[in-house]
Amino acid sequence: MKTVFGFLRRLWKASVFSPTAFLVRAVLITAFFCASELLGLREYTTFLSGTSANLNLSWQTAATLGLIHLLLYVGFILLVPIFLIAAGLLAAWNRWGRRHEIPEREPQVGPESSVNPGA
Amino acid sequence: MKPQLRARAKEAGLGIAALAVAAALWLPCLHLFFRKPLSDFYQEKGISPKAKQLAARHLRLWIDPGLRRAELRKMRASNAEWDFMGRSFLVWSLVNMGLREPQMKDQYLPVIDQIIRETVRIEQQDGIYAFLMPYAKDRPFRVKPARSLFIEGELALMMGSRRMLQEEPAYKQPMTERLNLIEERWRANPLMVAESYPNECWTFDHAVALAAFKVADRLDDTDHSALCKRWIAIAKEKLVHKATGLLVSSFETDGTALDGPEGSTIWMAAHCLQVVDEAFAQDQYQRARQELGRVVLGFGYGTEWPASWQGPRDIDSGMVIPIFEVSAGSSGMAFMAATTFHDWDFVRSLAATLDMAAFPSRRNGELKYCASNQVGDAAVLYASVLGPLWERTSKP
Repeated sequence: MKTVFGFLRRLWKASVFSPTAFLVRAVLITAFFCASELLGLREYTTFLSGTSANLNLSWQTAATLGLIHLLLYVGFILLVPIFLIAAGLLAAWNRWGRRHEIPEREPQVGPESSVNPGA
Repeated sequence: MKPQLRARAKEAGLGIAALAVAAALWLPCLHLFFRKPLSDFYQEKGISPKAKQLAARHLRLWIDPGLRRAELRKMRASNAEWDFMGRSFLVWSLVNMGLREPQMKDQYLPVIDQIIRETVRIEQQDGIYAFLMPYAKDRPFRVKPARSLFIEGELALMMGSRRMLQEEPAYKQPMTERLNLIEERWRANPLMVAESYPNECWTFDHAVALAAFKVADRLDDTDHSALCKRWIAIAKEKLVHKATGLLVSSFETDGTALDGPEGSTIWMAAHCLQVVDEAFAQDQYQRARQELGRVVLGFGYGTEWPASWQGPRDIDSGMVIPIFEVSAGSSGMAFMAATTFHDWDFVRSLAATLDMAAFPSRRNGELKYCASNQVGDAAVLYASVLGPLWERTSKP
């Protein structure tokens, strides 16, 4: 359990522009969108045609529910793939960067350096 | 700059660059997930899968009174006109479907008759205001007795269409009476226009009435061609918006324009005018396509107003999405015109938008678009089956 919380904390605290952060955002949007689908908010998007989905609710309430679903859907089809692609690109970039990083200089053990360090 | 700050700035720069590249990769591909073959939406012969699913839901609405009441209540709470137009589009759709698949005629005719009878009953019982928006009562109609071209024209075309599918003598007289009334009012006005609302005339309703005259000529061997020709000639001269060459959407009885060319009107007008004056209809479609039709990243839509006209959004526009100016009303009607004029690329991109943005919901072989309503779905259904009725009407 502790490991799971630790892992989640690491995800949550990931740097804003890191691949992990993009991944977390994609997962969160997907989760919220799925919840909205399961709650049936899709029906409320009828506000786009100027119609109320539920006459027992005020127009504003029904439209707000529809707008929430609309925004989550836009996030799901636009932002989630963009975040995933960006995460992939950054991960690849970081990996490539690490591979091509100039290794730190090892202390020279040759005869010159040891014989004449001040030269 | 501190090394830590520099590292953060570098990370932010990389992150933003990655987002930009990802967006550049994803956005042009998005439409591929929604773009389907044309045959999914429209077929020259037979009925497309989408049309079948949409029709299944509409037929159930007319078989299940509880469901119909609930659906109509929702629409009437916003606009009583939509209740009426939903009926018209459904009747015209079922007629086209019956002409496409004659073996299904027996299933469609009872529903068509039920819709026409019930609509006429409501009109006779509650008067024309039952299907008009409340502001119709704010002032009197100029021409007495008060009649609305919106209702007369669409009911005449409903009856005429039904008779085109299979003759029903009971509709001949009421249809003729309605058309005679329209003709009488047009002839009494120097511009040949009639009111839909008090001192408010709509191109949409005139175009529907013109198509109804053509259907009547086909059915009853009458000849309204001179009347239609004169209407078109006057409209070209007096009812055209100069900057775009498109017909204005609404005007007063003396021809004073109330609005410029509106997407939710002009697409339907072009569709109806096809059986009246093919060349003029084609010209109006091409202009509308140029002024109001857009395709962005593979998604097609219609705007409500051309760039040269700043008009208010009305209830027919539906929700208008800013920046892109996407109008739900105009986009729905654009389907009809694009299908009429065989603009298949535009139809496919409109269909991609519909599937992406209108929240399709499929259950038990029935389809509805959650972002739409009954009239919107009926208009899309009509766009996906239209053709045979106009073909039969125009046959020499």
